[in-house]
Amino acid sequence: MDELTLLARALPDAPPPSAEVVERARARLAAARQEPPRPRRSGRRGRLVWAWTLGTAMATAAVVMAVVTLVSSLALVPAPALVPSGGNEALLRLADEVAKLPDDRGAYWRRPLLNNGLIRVKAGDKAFNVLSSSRIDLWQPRDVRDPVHVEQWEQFVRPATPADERVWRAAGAPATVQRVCTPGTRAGDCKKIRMRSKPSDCLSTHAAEPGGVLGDRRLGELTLADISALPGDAALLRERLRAYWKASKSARAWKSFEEFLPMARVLLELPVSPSVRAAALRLLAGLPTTKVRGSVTDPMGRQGLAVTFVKSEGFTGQFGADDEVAERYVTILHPRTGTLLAANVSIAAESAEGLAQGTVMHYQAWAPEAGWTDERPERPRGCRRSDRPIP
Amino acid sequence: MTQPQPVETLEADDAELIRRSHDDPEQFAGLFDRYIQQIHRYVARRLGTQAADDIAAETFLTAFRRRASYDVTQRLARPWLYGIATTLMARHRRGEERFLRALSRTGVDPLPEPMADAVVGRVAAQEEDRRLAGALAGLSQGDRDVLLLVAGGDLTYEEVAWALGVPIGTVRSRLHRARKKARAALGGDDPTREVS
Repeated sequence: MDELTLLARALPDAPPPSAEVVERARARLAAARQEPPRPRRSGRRGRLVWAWTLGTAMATAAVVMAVVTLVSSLALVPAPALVPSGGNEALLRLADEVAKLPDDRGAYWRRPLLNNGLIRVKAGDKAFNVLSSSRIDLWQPRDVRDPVHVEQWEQFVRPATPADERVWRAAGAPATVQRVCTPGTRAGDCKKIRMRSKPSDCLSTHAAEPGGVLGDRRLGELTLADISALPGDAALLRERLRAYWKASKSARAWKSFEEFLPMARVLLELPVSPSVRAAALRLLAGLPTTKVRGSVTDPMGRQGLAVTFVKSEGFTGQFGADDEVAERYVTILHPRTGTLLAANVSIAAESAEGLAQGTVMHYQAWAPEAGWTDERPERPRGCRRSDRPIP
Repeated sequence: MTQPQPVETLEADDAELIRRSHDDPEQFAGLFDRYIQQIHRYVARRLGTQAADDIAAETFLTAFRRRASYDVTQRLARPWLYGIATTLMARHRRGEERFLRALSRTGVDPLPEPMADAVVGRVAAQEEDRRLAGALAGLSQGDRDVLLLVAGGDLTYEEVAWALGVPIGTVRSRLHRARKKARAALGGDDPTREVS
C-alpha cells in the first residue's frame, strides 16, 4: 500500500454527523442567507435588488469631492472607542427621541452607500495596506411610476495611513500593487490592484421597478405603501413580523419566530416613518440577541450608537500571515434619528501582520446625504448608462 | 437531509448553484446538502467530531459569504469547500497536534465520543498506526493539509492546488516530504516520533 494512504489511514475514521448537528449547521447557514451581502470587489453583477444592500462603488459628481475629503481621513480614525452603555436602555431612549421626529418626506428616498475596506498589498518586497472605496447611490421614487435611479462609482484605492503611504512612496509609488496572498486565498485571486486617486468608472441605471417593490427583500416584497401601513407600536409590529414569518418560506428557515426576530433590524435600513423606526428600536431593545455596545465614533468620524443585533463574529482572509484573522461586527446607528450610519463594521478581534487589534477593516456607511429629498437625480456627465441592473 | 449524490445526476452543477445563489441565496442550500457529510467527516478525522460540528458549519457560512469570488468555470465546488475547511482548521493546529501525539502514544482517540459513535469509530490500536500517527504529528501543517486532502479527501493534485491556492509543484513537494516521513516511521527510525 502507498505510504500516503497508510499515513492517512492512521487517523481513526469518523462517524457521520448527527441529524441534529446537520440541522444546526443548516440553520446557521439559513440565518446567514438573510444577512445583507458582503461587499464584492469583483465578480458578477446581480439584479437591481442588490443595489439596496451592497455596492461596489457609487457617488454623484456633486458629492464626490466632499466624500473623497471625508473618506481620505478614514484610515486615520481610530477604532470605535466604546463607552459604558447602560444596557439596552440606550435604544429605548433613542426610540423615545425618534418617535417625536416629524415624518418629512420628499419625492425620493436616497440611500448613498459607501463600501470601504482595507486590502493588504505589496510594492516591491514591502507590504502595506490600501483603503479601497466604492459607492452606490440609490434614489427610490415616492411615485411608483417614476424610475428608480442607481449610480455606481469606483472611488479610490490609496495607501491607508501616512505610514502606508511612506512605504508605497519608498517603493517608487507604483501605479499597481500586488495583493498579498494570505492563507486560504486562491492564487488566482491574488491579483494586481490599480491605485486610484479619483472617482471613476461611473455607471448608472434608470428604470421603473414593476409595482414599486423595494429592492431590499430581506423582509419580503414591500412597497412604500406597505411600509407606510406598518404599525408604530412595538407589540403590533412584532405581530406583523410574526405573520410574515409564518407566511414566508425563507423567513421560516429560522427554527422559531424568536430566532427570526432580530431581522427587525432591516426596518432601520428602510424608508419607514419615524414612528415605525421607533417601534422597531423598542422591539429590538427587548431581544436577548441585541447588545448595545455604547457611543462610538463611526469610521467617517460621526458620533453614533454601536449595537450588535445578532451574535456576529467571523474571519477575514484579507490579513494574517499564517492564518485568518478573527473579526467582529457592529452596526452603528445615528444617535438622534435611529437610521443607519454604518453596517457590517468589521473590527479586528486580534492583531496580525499589518493590522492592530481594534482596527476597522471594512464597513458599509451611509453618506450624510441619506434620507428624503426633492432633488431629482441627474446622470452626471461622463457617467455611462447601463441597460443592465446595477450592481 | 438530502444525501450527497453524484453530481452527474443532478440538474445543476455546483458552479451553476453558486451562480444562481447570487440572486437567490436559497440556492446555496443545495451545496450544503451535497457536501456537509463529506466536509464534516474530513474535519472530524483530523480534529474529532466536537470541533467538526462547528468547523463544518463555519465552512459553509464562509463559503456562502465568499461565493462572489468563486470561479464559476470550476464545475465542482468540492475542492473549494475542502480548502475553506482546511483554512478554518489551521486555527486548531495545536489541538490537532495534541490529538495526533496522544494517538501515537496510546492508539486511542483521545477525544471521547458518544457511545454509539465509538462503535462506529475505528480505533487506531495497531502499533504501525501509532507510529504513523506520530509521523503525521511531525509533519508541518502545510504538508499535513496536502497529504490529508489527497489521501483522506480524495482530491487530485490539481484540486488540492486550487483548494489551498498553492502551485501544483508545491503539492508534489509536500507529498514527497510526507512520504519520506511515512517511510521513516514504518522503518522504525522516525526522527519525528515522540518518545513517551
